[in-house]
Amino acid sequence: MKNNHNNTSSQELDESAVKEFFLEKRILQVATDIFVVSVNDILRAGLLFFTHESLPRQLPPRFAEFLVYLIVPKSSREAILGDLEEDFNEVREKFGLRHAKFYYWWQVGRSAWPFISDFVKKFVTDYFRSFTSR
Amino acid sequence: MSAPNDRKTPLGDLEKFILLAILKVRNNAYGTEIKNEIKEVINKDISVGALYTTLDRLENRGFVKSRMGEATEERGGRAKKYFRVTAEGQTALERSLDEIARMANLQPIGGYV
Repeated sequence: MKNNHNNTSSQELDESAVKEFFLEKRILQVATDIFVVSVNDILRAGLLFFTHESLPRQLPPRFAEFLVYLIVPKSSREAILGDLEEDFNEVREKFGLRHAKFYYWWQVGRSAWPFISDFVKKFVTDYFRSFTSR
Repeated sequence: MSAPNDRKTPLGDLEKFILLAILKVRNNAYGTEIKNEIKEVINKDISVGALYTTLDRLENRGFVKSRMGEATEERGGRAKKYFRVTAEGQTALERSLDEIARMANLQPIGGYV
């Protein structure tokens, strides 16, 4: 009888120990999660503060600017890029960044042909002039 | 610089509009101002490329002169390029408008020139 009682109490002890163990484990897990999330947030905030990489770029699309740089003669390059950026900022204020970027690309696309055709015309004219001037 | 024959070539429609737009903005206008003026008055949306290639052609013919202006923050620190119509440009424009007026049997068009 006494033995039996002892067995029951040790079983209860085991169960409570197991419960305690799992509770401790759970608490530890939650604490770890909170710590990881906080560290993650702090690191992300730091990255944002120092690099501004997470913010969408409020400037004209860089590749479109590069295309303008390629096709526009040097004498008007700065003026054209400035005019395009002025228009970009106006559209951004009125309609937002996405519309402004689309508008910039649209303007670059429309402007490409006049520059290319002008270049070809000048090239052909100079080529034939070189024959007539001989 | 332009060949002498270039100056006698009649002005195209866009060339006329651009010269008139510059004259309207106190004969001292930069790209965006010219573009906006044309858009506002005749609702014609011209591209930056078409505008600057035409201005370049007019400058080669001696009808406009350009100078670099100030840079502003809204332009990303880039300078404006101001244009003004020369006396030769004004004469060519006057002649061109006069031809249109005579063909349309109207009074000579004036006011800006």
